[in-house]
Amino acid sequence: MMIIELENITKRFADGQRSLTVLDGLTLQVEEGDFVAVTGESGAGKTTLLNILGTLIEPDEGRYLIKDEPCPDSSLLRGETEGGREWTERLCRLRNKEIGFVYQDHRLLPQFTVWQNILLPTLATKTASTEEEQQRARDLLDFMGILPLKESPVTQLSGGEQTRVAICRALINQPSILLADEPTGQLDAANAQTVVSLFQQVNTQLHTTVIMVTHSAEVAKAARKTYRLENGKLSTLNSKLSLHDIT
Amino acid sequence: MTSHSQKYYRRFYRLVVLAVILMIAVLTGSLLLGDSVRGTLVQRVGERLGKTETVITSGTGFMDEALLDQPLLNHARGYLLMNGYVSVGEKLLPVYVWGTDADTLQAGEALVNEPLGSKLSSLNSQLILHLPSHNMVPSGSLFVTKSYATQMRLHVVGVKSVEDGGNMLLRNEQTLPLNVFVNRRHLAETMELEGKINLVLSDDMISDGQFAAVWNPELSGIHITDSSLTYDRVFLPHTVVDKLTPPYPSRGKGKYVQTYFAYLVNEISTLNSQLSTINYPFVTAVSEWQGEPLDGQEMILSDYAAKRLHVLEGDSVSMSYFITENLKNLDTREQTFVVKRIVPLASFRNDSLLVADFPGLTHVEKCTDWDSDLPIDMNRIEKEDEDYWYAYRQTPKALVSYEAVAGDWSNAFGCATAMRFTSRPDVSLLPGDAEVQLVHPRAQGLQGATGGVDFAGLFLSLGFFIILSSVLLMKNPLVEMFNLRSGELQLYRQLGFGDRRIKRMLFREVFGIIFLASPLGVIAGLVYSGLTLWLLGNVWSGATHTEGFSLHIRPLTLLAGWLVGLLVCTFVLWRVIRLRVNGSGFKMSDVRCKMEDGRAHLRFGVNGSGSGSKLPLYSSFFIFLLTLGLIVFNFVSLHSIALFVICGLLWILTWGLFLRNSLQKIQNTPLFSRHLLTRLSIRAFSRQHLLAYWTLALGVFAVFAVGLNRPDFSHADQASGGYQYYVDSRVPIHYNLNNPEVRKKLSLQSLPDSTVFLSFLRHTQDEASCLNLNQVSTPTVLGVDLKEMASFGLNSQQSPLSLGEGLGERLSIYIDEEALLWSLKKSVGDTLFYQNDRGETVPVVIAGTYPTGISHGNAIMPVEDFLQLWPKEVGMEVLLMKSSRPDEAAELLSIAMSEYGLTIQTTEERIRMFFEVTETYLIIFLTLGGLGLLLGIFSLMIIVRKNLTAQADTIRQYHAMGFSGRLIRQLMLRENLLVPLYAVLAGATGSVISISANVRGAGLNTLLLALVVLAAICLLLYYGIKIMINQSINNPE
Repeated sequence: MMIIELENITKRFADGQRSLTVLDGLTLQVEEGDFVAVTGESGAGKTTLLNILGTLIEPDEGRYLIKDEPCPDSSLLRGETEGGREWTERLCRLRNKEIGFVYQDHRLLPQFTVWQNILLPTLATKTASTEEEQQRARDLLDFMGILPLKESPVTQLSGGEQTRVAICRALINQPSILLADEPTGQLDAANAQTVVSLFQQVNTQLHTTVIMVTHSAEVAKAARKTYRLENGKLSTLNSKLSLHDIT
Repeated sequence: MTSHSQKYYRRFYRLVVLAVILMIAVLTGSLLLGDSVRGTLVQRVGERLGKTETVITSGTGFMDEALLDQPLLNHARGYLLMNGYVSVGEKLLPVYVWGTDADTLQAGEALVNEPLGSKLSSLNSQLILHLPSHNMVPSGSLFVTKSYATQMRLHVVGVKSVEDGGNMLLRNEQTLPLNVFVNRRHLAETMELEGKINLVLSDDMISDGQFAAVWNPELSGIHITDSSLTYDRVFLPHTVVDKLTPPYPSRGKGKYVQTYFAYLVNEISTLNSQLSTINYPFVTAVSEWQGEPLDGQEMILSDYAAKRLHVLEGDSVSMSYFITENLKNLDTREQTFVVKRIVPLASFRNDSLLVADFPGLTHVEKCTDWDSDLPIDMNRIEKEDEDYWYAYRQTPKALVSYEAVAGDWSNAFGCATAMRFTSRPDVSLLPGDAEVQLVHPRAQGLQGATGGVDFAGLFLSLGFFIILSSVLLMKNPLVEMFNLRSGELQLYRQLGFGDRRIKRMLFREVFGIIFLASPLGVIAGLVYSGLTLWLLGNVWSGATHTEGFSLHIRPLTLLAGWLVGLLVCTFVLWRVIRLRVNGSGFKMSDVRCKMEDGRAHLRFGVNGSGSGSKLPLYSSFFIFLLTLGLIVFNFVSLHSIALFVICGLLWILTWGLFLRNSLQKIQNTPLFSRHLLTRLSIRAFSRQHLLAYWTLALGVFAVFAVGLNRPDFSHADQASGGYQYYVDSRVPIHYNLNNPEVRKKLSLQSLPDSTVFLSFLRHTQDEASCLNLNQVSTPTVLGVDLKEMASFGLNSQQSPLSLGEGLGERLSIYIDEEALLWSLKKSVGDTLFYQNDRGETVPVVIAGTYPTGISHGNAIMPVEDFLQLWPKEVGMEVLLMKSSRPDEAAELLSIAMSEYGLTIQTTEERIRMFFEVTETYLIIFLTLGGLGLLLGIFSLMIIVRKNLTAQADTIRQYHAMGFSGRLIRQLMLRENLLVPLYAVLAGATGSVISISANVRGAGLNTLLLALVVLAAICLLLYYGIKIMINQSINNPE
């Protein structure tokens, strides 16, 4: 089953009188439980693609389906109508429940501890975290091997630890899609390898679809499918079957 | 590099420039205001005194115009100065009437000064001037005509300019007087005071000694010959009699001094069965008659009287006469005398010292023409009486022992009508003995003008909040700019720049802007002071009751304002740079280590959150309990306004400490909630939030404490003592208006029975009310029975008098709180010095205070003390009236006593006039405070904006995590609005505490207005912050 379908996606950015087409009729299909890596040069539009996948920005043209549901168009997103407000809420719920983000710079909020950063997404739909979510947070911390750090301020963690916290936060609502933007960009080789392994574990053990953009070919090797983004279009670099594909 | 940075960060520098201009403008402007008010008051002293250096007054008496012929007074002008009133429309305007020779005024012509001219409907019109009857005999004595006032019909021929002395005034006031200038001789003729003056203004400084050398008693109407002494004012003053009497025996064949007292008695009648009576005879008290001493109850009768009474020597007769103690409350006293001798009437007739010249009594053709205050029953006057009057006028019919009647017949003005001595006494009388006093008004005036209300200090305190807000307005953009440039600072360090060098660079960059902006601040200060002076003379004239102030610019003041402003700005800049540069590095003091699960966890302080000590929590609880305790204590016993204000400030401090603690003591729990999220986010910017708290809480406190303190006239009972009308009489009233007989006499019998008057004696000195900006040394004194003042909050049984009880023989006064504090700048227990009727300086102790009310600006003195100081001022000049039908009573009073020149106004109107001053100052404070509060809110918005900029990443994160826009707005709004609202609440409740003493005084309208303003501030904050949040959410980059 396709979890993500992008069809002829075009995205342009205007800078004064200059218009730059970053994505130009891009098409991508991602199956549920897949692990996809997108590589490309700096400025190729990897992050833009990831933001479109994460519904943070809208494409100028093209169609985007998540689990066969179309994403709302911009007029609806801006909440100009009553229905628009509903769509906005729906989109937020979708982002909250189905998508998790991991960024290169982790984007952990310094005012909160590790524990609070992880539970933060649970507050998007209710006023306090539930016991079940707290247990899940503990499990995730344990899974990532950073349970002893749960009360620590995030500013005191190493880069690798911060990435793990960011992954935990991305997974707290058990999303079906995990989007990672250069997750190993600030890590040394050993830590980068560890983080890539963690993504693989998330993909295989938690059955989460992972889409990772990276400029590192080495990191991209961990994915089952690797695409290269060039001139606004994706081209397949390799594809390998996993146990999941066979079964 | 500096100029590039200045240009690049110009959006921050614009705010810095604005703050610098505002701060220096308020500082310089306030100092200029002080100079201008002081300068104007000094100018007024010059205007009202002209070239006058010495003032010679004759008190209630008069001086002969021949005094002006003395060479010492070559540069002097003589005046006959009277208090009068003119009717303009339906209003009575009290005026000073200057009888002068200086202007070429003809009889019947008048000049008016500019303030009076502006009140008259047209110049070149007729002016009817009402003058209290001022004849030679003191009006407070019994034997005066019952005409209370005279009129002068005048033609106004022009306006006397300020330069020509049009605004002449001897009292230390900045309020311009209403002056009428008339021909002195015409005035004297009208008042039957030909050849008399009562005021001399000299351009020379004349000392008491110099004046005493040229003065002689004759000039004051005291006629001394080798054998006698008489006085134009009939009654010889006690001082004169005392001075001449002691060294000489009052009788005997050698050197002697005899004192005579002529009196109109009610009757002399026989005691035998054949009752014979002589009605209303003149009788003279003597100690000796032609070598015959009169002792005890002895009397010498004229043969005429003996014949009418059918008595012989040795017989007893009864004599009755009126006496009065106060307010002409007449009492009849009777004494029995033994006829010691019967002498020919001619011997009485030939002795002029036995008679006195009572106007209204002695210069009439018939007894029935007598015009006197005495209740003479004309029906009792017989034909023989008229015949006697025709032949002998006031020649006494009998002489009685002086010893027997002197006590009864003496009054405040004297104890004799003539003295006789064998040779001229070797005692010299001084000017003071005839009430003549010398005053040097310029020094007093300048002292009052320069020591008066300090407008510089006043406006600095009124504009304090603007200065405070300007500091914040300057600090916040600088902090935001340096935060934005933290990378730049790090780079400088990496490039090897030392901290001092970096600080110097930043200082140079910002100080350049400040320095360039500062002259603009001085110019703005000139505009600010000019505008404020204009407002004080127009819109805010209620605060000063003047015709406006002129701007006095002193370069030194401009320099001082500029330097102080620059200094404050430099200090703020230095603090900000020091904090930012020192704070941009890693400080070990921010790191704390905690062992947990066998490994060390480093914890960093978040944005200056304090240590984990519980001291602040305990201290906030302690201050909270202390505040509550003080509030309760103050409510129960002290009722101190100052303490309530301190309690209000402590309340704000407590709330601030609670806020600080609540931010520091956030417990990390497994449960993570939006509530905790909000608190943690607030803590992340705790320094900024606390700064916002103090700014807003203090701003709201200042504005509300002042605003809620506005007086409400629906609770003016204590201020007016329950009296509804205030009556000021230009002519002293010598009657007790509560007496039914007096009411009948004055045609006031129709007054409702419930009408009650409270009368005050008045010794006019300086106006010490808030209407006078000059410093006052001796306020006008009102004499009253202190028991009557209980309803005004002056309780003679309370503590103020307990001090009075310990005063021994010293005299005491009570002054209202505001006059004591602002006009006199004295406190309870201090001594004031008044001159009594004899010209002696007498210490008077301030024994207590009473709440400011209807008698504001006057000192209250027990009537006994008053009469001891000024026994001649026995007429009531101030009345308070209450009645079940007050308006009707007031109208009747104004008609029946129209000759007295009564100014009648409701007590509420009068109190409102005083409170208008306070009210206007409050409005000024509210205006400036409100402006400061707006600036405070504006600088708060900069803080919020800075927080939101710093939270741009957080907002993006919330987006990415699926937080809806509405939820993000909610969270941001909570984070940024909670503390400001908390601050507004703390400030508002603190202000309510601060006005607890007067909480009932704040009327419903004031409370409603306060609620509206409170709501407006909250809405302003809500929408201001909301708009900025929306901008941040829509443009997170």
